[in-house]
Amino acid sequence: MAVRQLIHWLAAVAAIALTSCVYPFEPEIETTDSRIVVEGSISVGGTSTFKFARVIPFTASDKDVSQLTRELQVTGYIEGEDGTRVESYQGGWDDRGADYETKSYGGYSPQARYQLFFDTYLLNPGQRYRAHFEETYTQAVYETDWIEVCPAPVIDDLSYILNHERSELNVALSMHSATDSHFRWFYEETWEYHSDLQASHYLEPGAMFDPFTGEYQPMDALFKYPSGQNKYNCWNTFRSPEIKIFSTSDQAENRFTDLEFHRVASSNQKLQVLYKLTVYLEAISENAYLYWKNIEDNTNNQGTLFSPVPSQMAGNVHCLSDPGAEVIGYVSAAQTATAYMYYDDWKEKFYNGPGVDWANITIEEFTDYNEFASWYSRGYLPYTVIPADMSESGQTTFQWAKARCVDCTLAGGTKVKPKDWPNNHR
Amino acid sequence: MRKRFLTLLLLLPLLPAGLSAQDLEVRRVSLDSLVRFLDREFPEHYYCVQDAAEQATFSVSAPRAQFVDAAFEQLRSSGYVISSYGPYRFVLHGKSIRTELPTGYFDRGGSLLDDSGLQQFLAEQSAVATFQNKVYEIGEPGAKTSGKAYLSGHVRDVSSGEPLTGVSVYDDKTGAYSVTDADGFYRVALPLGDGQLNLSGYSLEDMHLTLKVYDDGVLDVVMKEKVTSLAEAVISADAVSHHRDAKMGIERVRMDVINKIPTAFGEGDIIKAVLTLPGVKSVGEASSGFNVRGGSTDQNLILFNDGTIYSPTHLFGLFSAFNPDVVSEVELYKSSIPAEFGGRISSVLEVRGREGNSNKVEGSLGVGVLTSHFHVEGPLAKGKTTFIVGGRTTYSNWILGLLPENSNYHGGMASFSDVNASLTHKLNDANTLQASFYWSRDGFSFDRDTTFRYSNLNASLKWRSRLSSRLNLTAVAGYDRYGAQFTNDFNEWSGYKVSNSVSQVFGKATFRYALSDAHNLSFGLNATGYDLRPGALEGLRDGSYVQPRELDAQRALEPALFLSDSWTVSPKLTLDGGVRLSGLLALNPSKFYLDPEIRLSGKYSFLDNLSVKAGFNTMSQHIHLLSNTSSISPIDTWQLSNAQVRPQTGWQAAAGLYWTVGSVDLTVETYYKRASHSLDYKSGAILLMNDHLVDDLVETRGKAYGVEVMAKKTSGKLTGWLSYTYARTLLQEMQDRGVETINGGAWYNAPHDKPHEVKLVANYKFTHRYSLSVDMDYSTGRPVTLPVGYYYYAGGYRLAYSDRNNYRIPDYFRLDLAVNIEPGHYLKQFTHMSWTVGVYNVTGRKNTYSVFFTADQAGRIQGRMLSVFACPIPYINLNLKF
Repeated sequence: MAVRQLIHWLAAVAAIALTSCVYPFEPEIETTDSRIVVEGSISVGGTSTFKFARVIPFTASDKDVSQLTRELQVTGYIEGEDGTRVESYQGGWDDRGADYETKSYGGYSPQARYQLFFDTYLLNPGQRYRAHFEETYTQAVYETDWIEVCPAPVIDDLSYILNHERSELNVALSMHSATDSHFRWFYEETWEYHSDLQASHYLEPGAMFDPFTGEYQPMDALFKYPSGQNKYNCWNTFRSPEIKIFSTSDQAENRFTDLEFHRVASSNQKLQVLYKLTVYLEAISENAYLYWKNIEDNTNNQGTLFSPVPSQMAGNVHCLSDPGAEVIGYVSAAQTATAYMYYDDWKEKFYNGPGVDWANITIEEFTDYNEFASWYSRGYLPYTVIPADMSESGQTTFQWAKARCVDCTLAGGTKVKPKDWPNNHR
Repeated sequence: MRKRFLTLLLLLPLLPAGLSAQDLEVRRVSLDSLVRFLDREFPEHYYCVQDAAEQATFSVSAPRAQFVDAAFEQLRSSGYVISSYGPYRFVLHGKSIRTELPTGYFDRGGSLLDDSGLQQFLAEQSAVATFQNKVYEIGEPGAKTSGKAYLSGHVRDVSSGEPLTGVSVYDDKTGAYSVTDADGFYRVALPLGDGQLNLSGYSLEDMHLTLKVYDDGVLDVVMKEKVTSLAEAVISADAVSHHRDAKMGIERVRMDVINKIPTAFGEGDIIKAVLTLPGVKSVGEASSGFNVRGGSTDQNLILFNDGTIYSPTHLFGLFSAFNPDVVSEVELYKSSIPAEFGGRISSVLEVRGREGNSNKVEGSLGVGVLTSHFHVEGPLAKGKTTFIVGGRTTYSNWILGLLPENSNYHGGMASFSDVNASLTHKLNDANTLQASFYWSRDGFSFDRDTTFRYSNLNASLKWRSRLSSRLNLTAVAGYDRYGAQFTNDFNEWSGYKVSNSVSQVFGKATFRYALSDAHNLSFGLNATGYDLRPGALEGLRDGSYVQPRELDAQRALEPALFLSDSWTVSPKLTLDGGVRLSGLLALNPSKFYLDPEIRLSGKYSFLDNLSVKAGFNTMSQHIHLLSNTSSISPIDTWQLSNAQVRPQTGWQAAAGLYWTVGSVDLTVETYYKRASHSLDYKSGAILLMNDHLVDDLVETRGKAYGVEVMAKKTSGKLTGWLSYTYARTLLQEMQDRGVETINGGAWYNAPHDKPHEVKLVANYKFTHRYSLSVDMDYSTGRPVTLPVGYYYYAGGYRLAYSDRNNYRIPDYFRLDLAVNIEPGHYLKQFTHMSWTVGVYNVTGRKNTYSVFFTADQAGRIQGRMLSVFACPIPYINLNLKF
């Protein structure tokens, strides 16, 4: 038998790349949606804060937003199954209401919310509570389901792990609970950092001209010497919008250990001096867990091949006056466990952000203080003054640098040192 | 190179002979039968090679001792040469007809003549090509005096010997019509007397055989591939099936057509080819699965050599699970689903593997940018056993490294492999056994912690038997398994692995019986035993906090009986009807469902080239895929119907008009479909390891309707099809769950509802060597659920959603071009090279795959869209044959 072997080979030669890309997308979404949003939890043993707002349609103008906000005023009470009743004691808009003018990094203005406070120090963790709200203008009435109080879980450890391979600091949390198996936490970061240059002299721009004569003030009046007004050390705070939830329902024990939940790159300025992370941990019910997970899926887990189809899940707040009206929000009752940790770069030397890059720092020298106004208007700030007897020119020389090099507040921080901050920088 | 085997065998029933112990007699038998008779009755081994033109019959009557001589005498008088070597006797036809042989030419112990005889035979075989001009006699004159006679046989490919499926076998005069089945088998009832039998199959040369029919008989036919003919043929295979067959909504695509459709990576892709057909949609370019006439992805039964494929794609849909080297063709039933198929309510996609070349060993080896593949096929025992083995693998994970960092896949890995094997053994003329095997595995990870793995396994054994001239049987038994695993190693103590699997054992027996000249019955039974493991959870290392746990296995038996009849009322009118009794016995707790299904269709031809058809089907489905993602995820679990989960049911009514103008087949089909008890998730349901999953499910009903218009041209310089589809698919939740009811209980768009679609697949041959392929796809953007607003909550902006699938992504458009250069026609040349140079997405349109909104660290929200193939992708394929 003649056997013929036929070898057939296929060579695909192409320098191809799988070219998937992400582009901005701006859909035209027409809607008049203005569902009410209720955020808050009954904090047993503390003050309970509830915040109210409405869904902002994508098509809404700033004016609409402001209108939506102004029309929303609420009163309410929290009641226990035993008949105890705690009335809200203060209403008003939170400070985000002042932020309208800061509109638009992403195109939307921050939202002001109406807030209510309740003194819930004396509530009994052993019984169920519910919250009741009424809108002042529309008289719409809302009520939550009866909510069981979840006791505080125990935080066993909050610490950081330095991952040198990936050049990142990982924050890890360990906790356990005797009773609950669903948890939510959020965290707040506070850090101290400094600007590139520590200026020895500071200008008071407001004092540049004499208000009566319109002439330059004497140099001494303009300059302040190192003092409490230094702009070298700053502090910044950031509350992460991330939703952190964890379920131990598939575990033999209600605990997790060294759960890494936050990463900070070693080049991040947060690690420059001293970094603090505070965790606020609560146990929540299974339904609350599903609700938070749904929010997370809807907002942050979209766009991949296997993303869940977004859907709006009903929470535990209902509109009594209009049962068909949807209310966004899930109210829990809990005791909060808190823990914090510090990272001190003076000890760890892990920070490898850009150091003082002298090549990028422009220092202008001049001797005529009458030029102050012109350098100031060009975005410069004084760095130091070289007295006549020490300067090369033999005249008092003024050194100025770009404002961002000497003013740490321009990087977003403040000069307000947090309470109990362990460093004694000012 | 030798040309070989163009055979056309004419087998006549062997007449029983033997008058007494001493006397033997045969009357009017064919050469073949005579030689078989000799072989049976006498100790020597007799062989013959029959001239295809042979029509002579032989009658021999002689005492046993002289019978052989008498028979040889007759044969010699008909021009045959008898050679002898040891105990072997060869009967070969001489070059010219001789009335007399020299005495002593036949010498029992004589010189070796067989070699020259064989050479003579082989030299003559090339002359058989004229067989269309001769008359074939079926049966013996006078054997039947009235009624009709049954002609059956196999149709095979001339060069590889593989069975040819879907060849129309028909008689123009009476309207008798048959299509060869998966084994190339056909059976038609023909009137007695003179007649003509036509055979027509896609890309095959049409055949017209002249017959003289006296009785039932067997006629095996070999057909050859159409030599590239630039002239227009008159009748196409599609035209024949449109105007003869009552079934509608059937699309058949052969592998050679599939290989010419441009794809992103240049490899022939079956699922991508299926997506070019009208009525078939998918949610996006990189998505596994497809939707047929509004059905969801789990409502398609995908069969590969009779085994059920649960995951038909590799690499999130970029490649289909089928190795093109080992596939002969695919057939998609989107409307008239034969009663022998069941278990899914939307469609059946039958992928038929090849049996392997029965004449010679050949193979291929390919190296591509992403994959390499090979296949080998050939005979193991010539004429008896053939095999085919194929495999593919990816040899690098670099594909994901190319993805942009913000696409969520950067830094991941992805790989797959698959293996196909099939062994076909012909026990005898009437019985064939075929063993098939398929295995595949996929693995990919999107980030450093999570990994997906899944695998398919199918093994089956098929027995095909011709039980009598009117009855044949196909019986299959097999095992299918799909398993998936998801690993999330985010933490040393809490990291976990979840796995699930579907296993099934199945048996199928299908009988086809020609009841009368007008009625062709098909009946049989199926049984499938399911064993579903919906979830097993375990920790990743010792000391893990994870409590190992397994969800209850779901087991059930799904028996089904079916009976269908194809009734040729007249040449103009054909009716098909069938019933299928499908049941499900769910275990633990026991629950039995019985779902009777009916299949009806009818055809009426006004003219030879103008027909109308109508059909009505009901279907039921006992296994459901639970998914809350728009594209199926490998870890999505399957759920059997049980005491709480009812079977899905659906019906479809359809009508169509078929008009053949020249070589163009124009088709208009319209349909209306309903489905009930399809499963969806409640908002916020947990997918994995949910003990109370049933509580998180909601039932939906669906309706779909549409019109598909297609013009198809299968011969000439220009071939291909152009189609337009208008189709709507809507869903509605069946329960009222208050504010949580999906879209308030109103009808809403299904995720694959794309009303307008235009598809073009065309190939234009400039010369015999050069051709241009075009693939064009336009469709309305698919519906998506977009946020309607945003709100500040828990430290960041969150998205507020309202109605489901109320918006659409921008319309989809893609044009692909490829130039195919076929090898030159130099037979003596050692290597034959063919090239394909193509560009996928020529216009570089940034088609939207998905849209999403992201909140940055500060909580600001921005809309984004992901485009999978955002620029033109060029490719070159080189095929070298030697």
